[in-house]
Amino acid sequence: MQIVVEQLLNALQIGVLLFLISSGLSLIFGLMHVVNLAHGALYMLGAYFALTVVRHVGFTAALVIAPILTAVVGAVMERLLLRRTYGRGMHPQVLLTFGLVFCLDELVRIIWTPQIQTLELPAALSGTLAVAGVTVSTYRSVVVAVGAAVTVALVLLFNRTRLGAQVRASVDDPEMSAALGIDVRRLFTILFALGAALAGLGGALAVPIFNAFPGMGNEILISALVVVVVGGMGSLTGALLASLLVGLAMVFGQVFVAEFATAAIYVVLIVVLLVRPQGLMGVGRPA
Amino acid sequence: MKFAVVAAAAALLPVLASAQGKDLKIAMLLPTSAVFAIYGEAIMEGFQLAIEEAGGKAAGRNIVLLTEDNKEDPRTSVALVRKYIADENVDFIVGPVASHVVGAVRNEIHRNKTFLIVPNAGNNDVTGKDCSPYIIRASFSNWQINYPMGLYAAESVGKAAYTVAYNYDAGREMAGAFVQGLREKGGRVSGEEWPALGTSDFAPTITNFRAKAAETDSLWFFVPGLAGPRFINQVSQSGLRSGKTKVTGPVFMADELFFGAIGDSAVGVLGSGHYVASIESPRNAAFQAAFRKKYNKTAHVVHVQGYDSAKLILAAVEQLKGDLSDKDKLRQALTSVQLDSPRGRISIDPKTGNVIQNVYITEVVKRPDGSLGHKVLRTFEQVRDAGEGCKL
Repeated sequence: MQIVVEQLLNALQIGVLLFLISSGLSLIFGLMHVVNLAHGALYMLGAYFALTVVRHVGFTAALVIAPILTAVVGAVMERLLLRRTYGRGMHPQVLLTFGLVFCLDELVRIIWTPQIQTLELPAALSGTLAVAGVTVSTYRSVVVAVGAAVTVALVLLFNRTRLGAQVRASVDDPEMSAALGIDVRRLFTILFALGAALAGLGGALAVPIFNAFPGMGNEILISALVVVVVGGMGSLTGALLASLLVGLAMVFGQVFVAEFATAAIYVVLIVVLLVRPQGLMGVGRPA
Repeated sequence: MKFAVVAAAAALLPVLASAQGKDLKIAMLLPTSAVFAIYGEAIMEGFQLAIEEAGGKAAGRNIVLLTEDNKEDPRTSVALVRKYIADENVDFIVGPVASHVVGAVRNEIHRNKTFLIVPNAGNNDVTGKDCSPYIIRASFSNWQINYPMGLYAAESVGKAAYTVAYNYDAGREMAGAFVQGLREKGGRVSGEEWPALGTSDFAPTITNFRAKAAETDSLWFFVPGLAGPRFINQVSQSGLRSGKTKVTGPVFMADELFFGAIGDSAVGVLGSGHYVASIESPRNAAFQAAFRKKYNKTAHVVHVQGYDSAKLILAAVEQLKGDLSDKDKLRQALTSVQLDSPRGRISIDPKTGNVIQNVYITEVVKRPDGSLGHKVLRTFEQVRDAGEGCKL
């Protein structure tokens, strides 16, 4: 029984990390209809920003500063590059964001060296917690807690604030929203920066578990894209459900059919697409 | 296809006279691109240092290196081997990195009687059931470096071991050799896990292990590449390093290449292998100094494998005074040379073509200056892989 609970917690931890990355990806697609292939590269930048900040300031500071820096990079990317591709269809965006992956990978090699790196956790986070006979890594519990806090914050942001209302309106009907005086361009930049910040936070949180290395974003991008498709493009709730589902598939795949565990998430993808082609919470492809 | 045409054209030309007195042509069958590039480059660096130390000559013959990217792809490699042999008439081929690529070029090498010096690929079959008089392995076999850890674990760590290895050839061979050694000394396996190749989050595996941790003395693992540092860090974060269980595995799971990626949780990991930079001997100190002078970094095991591959060729060519026309004599020379390597004394086993060498049991320690290094706990002298299935 304790083992089952522990494995469920493992699934939750993976799910939370996936959610941080895929929520931004999904929102950006939902509002801007941009498949941002450079989203994984932003996750990587978050990881490397965290490495640098940890060495100079500290771990907690890194969890705040790394996402902010990543958001700035995201905003600049949107303003200077992506903006030029709007209204020109999917191809220029895919080429642009795919090209950015190579540029950013190379940039990381130049600035931070190609070496695989890790960061030492503060002593308070490096141990384990034992609750009712179940032992969990303190750090992974922190990851879950941060993820939960971010989820709540995102829900409040989208349901309780003016900005959230504007985003929801623009997702539903961009032309009408613009006609009503919503500055959609400004929204795009804000949302892109927010998505980048979430990816950056995910990257920063991932370093102690998965290390930092050039190209690390490509590894996570595949899983994140699966989550986005399974959850339904543009849906925050969908991304959350899909992240947890994919987390469960990864963990219990490894427990029961270890040899095939890396295929588990694709099984989820196929089944969901067969049953609900628009994704769990999707409302069909936006026009 | 292009290569096939080139090879056919070359066959029409009159056969060149004996290469003696001419350049000594050594062709590198190594990747300079894609995932295995770091290994290809490391082998090349070690190799070039040895050639440089010899003044670029062997028995008076100028050494010419041919380097073309094999991309560590089986088909590209076969084509390249054909080209090297038919078109360039090379004396030796050095490579490849990965075992499945050795398998791909094996018949081409065997048929053409051109010597292949393998500077990495560890699968047992290379010098086991697929062995050939023309294949010499200067690196290691999976059995060779893991069997001694099994012996050591049962004798000096504790009888019960839990094994975790990626579910593929090398993982099966390494874990199998470890368990064989363990059982021979009265040890037993308390559990085993075979995560799929590419698994990056080991939390489910570690949770399974936790149930057996109290009755386990050593947690032996082999998950190569990026996964190695992750595994060690994740085990440490799960609090399973504080009890009696020792983390053990092939030494390259926690060596100079990965110290930066693992950090201090590498301390206390036990490894088995044929080289670590911290081996204390005048020979190794001189090698490391020369390597640092040329490349401004510490040499690790793959550099040494490349270095020794060159040393082996040089010594054999010197012994034959540059006359490589008799293949049997060349084989004899290659298998009778005794090299004073940075890793200790090495030679090539005439029965299998695999290297005979010391295997070191090491522990990662933090040095007074804060850097990580290895302490040698025990040396298994001159370990020989019997080369199961090899009939030479």
